[in-house]
Amino acid sequence: MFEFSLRQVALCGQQPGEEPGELAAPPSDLTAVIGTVGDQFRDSFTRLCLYLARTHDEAPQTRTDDTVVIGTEYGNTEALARLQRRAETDGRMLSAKHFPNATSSSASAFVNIGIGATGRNLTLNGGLLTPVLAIWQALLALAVDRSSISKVLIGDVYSPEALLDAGLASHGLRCRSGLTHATFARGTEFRAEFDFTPDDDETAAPGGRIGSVPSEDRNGAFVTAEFLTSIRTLEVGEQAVLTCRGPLARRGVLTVTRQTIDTADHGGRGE
Amino acid sequence: MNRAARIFVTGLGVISPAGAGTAPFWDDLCAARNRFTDLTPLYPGMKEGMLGGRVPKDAWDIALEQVREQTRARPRAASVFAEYAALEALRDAGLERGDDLVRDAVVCIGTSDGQADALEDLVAGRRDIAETGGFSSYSVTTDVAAAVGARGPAFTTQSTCASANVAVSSAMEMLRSGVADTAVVGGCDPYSEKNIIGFSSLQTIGAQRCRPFSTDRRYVTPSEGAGVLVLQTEDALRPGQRPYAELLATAISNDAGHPTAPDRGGVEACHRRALAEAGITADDVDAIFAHGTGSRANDTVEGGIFTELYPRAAVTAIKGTVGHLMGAAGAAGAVASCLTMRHRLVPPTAVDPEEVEGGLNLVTGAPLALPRLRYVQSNAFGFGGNNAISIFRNVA
Repeated sequence: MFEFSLRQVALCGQQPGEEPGELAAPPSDLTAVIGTVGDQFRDSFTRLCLYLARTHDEAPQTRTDDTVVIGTEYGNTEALARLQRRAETDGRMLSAKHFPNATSSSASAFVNIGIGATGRNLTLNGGLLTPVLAIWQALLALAVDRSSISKVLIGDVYSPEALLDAGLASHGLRCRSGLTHATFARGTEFRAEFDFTPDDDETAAPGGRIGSVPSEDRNGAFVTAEFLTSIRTLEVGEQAVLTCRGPLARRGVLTVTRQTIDTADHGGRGE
Repeated sequence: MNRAARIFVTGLGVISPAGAGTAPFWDDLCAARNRFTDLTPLYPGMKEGMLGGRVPKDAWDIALEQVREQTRARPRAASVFAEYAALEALRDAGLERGDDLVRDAVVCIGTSDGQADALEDLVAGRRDIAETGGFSSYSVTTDVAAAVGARGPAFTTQSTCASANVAVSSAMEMLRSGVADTAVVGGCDPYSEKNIIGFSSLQTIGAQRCRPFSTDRRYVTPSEGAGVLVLQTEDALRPGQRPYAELLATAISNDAGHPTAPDRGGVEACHRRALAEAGITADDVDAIFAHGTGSRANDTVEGGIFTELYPRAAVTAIKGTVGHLMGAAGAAGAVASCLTMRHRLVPPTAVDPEEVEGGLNLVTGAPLALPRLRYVQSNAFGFGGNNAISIFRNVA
């Protein structure tokens, strides 16, 4: 059981019906927020992570002990593929600046640098259970006094290769690019309880659901944003439940209960 | 959440350029024997003669024989390595596939390049996605979970060369929180074209082998493999099990400084945090498995910290012997740390004593016997300012 306060939730993503892939209309202030230096090397996933991390929160002027957890299935795949292709075409002229942007955790690196976060940081892939697992790791950092602020970035910007891979086991879910950024703080506003017990029903449909309402999206960004937005409207004592199911009965359930409406209380601890 | 819950390492598995299993791994470490080979140039202009460490063919065959049928039918190197190491670790712990203790276990594998061969073949047009079996990094962990018969939480962590230690930390916290009482955790990374291209572009790999903490050091020697540990809470230990060590802490931090260069302040902060989380001081640490990549930057930062903060500790670096296992480097270090606990021996670093950078208490030559060994530290750092340090306690 963890206690926390929720500072903000933001979603940036494709609309239903858009052709999966790059965002047709990236945020209009993207360049103003993250600049263009190194843009030829970084991919859309890193850009969007950095944009959300810098936009929807107070920008600290110094390094902090904040924790950053990135939950993603495909992360920086676009940059990984690009490095391989550029080596073929550029040969010995290949720029050394590609590589730092083309690791599986490049987005995490540039977010941590971009906001000066020195706490726990990890890039996590839990398949369809990624939202629940990423939030668990983020709240853990608060509960053990590792950080007073813990951020999650959950989602994917699908490269062509990622779409092919996702298509191997689509589970009837649609792929649309999007990323959710949420900031958790120490506090007692909410109580979070997790259950990772395997599902009794091995035939249960994989994917996320809020209460009994299933999400149509594979990308956990959308169900995460909807869930975290919904808990803000809970009355004291009310609960909301996010369930993420994967194949082979794997399951993660997050139940959030509103305990107080006092968001100024930052003294909460996990048990 | 029971923060006081004690976590024990009860099983070890590894596959590396030394071969399949902990026995050849330990033998090569103690003999400081490397098996590096020339890497094939991967793109126009890439130099010939660059050294790397590959899992040998006979070890691959042994692993392939033991992994699941599905993996054998369409082998992806990361899954072959990780499944093999996990199954060895499970046997070593005295557990069987699908054992009651394993069924709900947390499975967490750290990897930087994941199913690199699948993605790289797809990008190069050598195989289509169905032929590759897919490249999602999650599949590495679910393949391990299937191999050991676990249905509990399963996830992959990716923090460049600190990935395995980050996996250990993430799983350890889940055990302490009561999510499960057993975890199968570690790291794996296969040979990755993209990685070799990247290191080549940075001119950090070359014809001279990795010489950690040598005044003559210059290059990293990339390699491949996997290491896996079985972790159990004290309550989950069975009669007759003989843990290698108690895992006291695995601290994670980020430099938030530079995409590739380590930051002395950030790395030192992670050391201090690891000691604090373990509840010990630097003077208590008897032996350190350094990250020790053989690069100028890493070894300068790490060596400086060891000399100033840990003057008593015996330091060793295994990358001169088995190479840099990338995302699995921390797992190799953790397995070596636990074997050091069991044998009370610190394997040497593969450099001559006279070339050791000033003042560092580096083990060279023969393995160092430490009969009263109590605490061993294992470091793993990576691009992106990733730092993760584990500390183990002797329980013999």
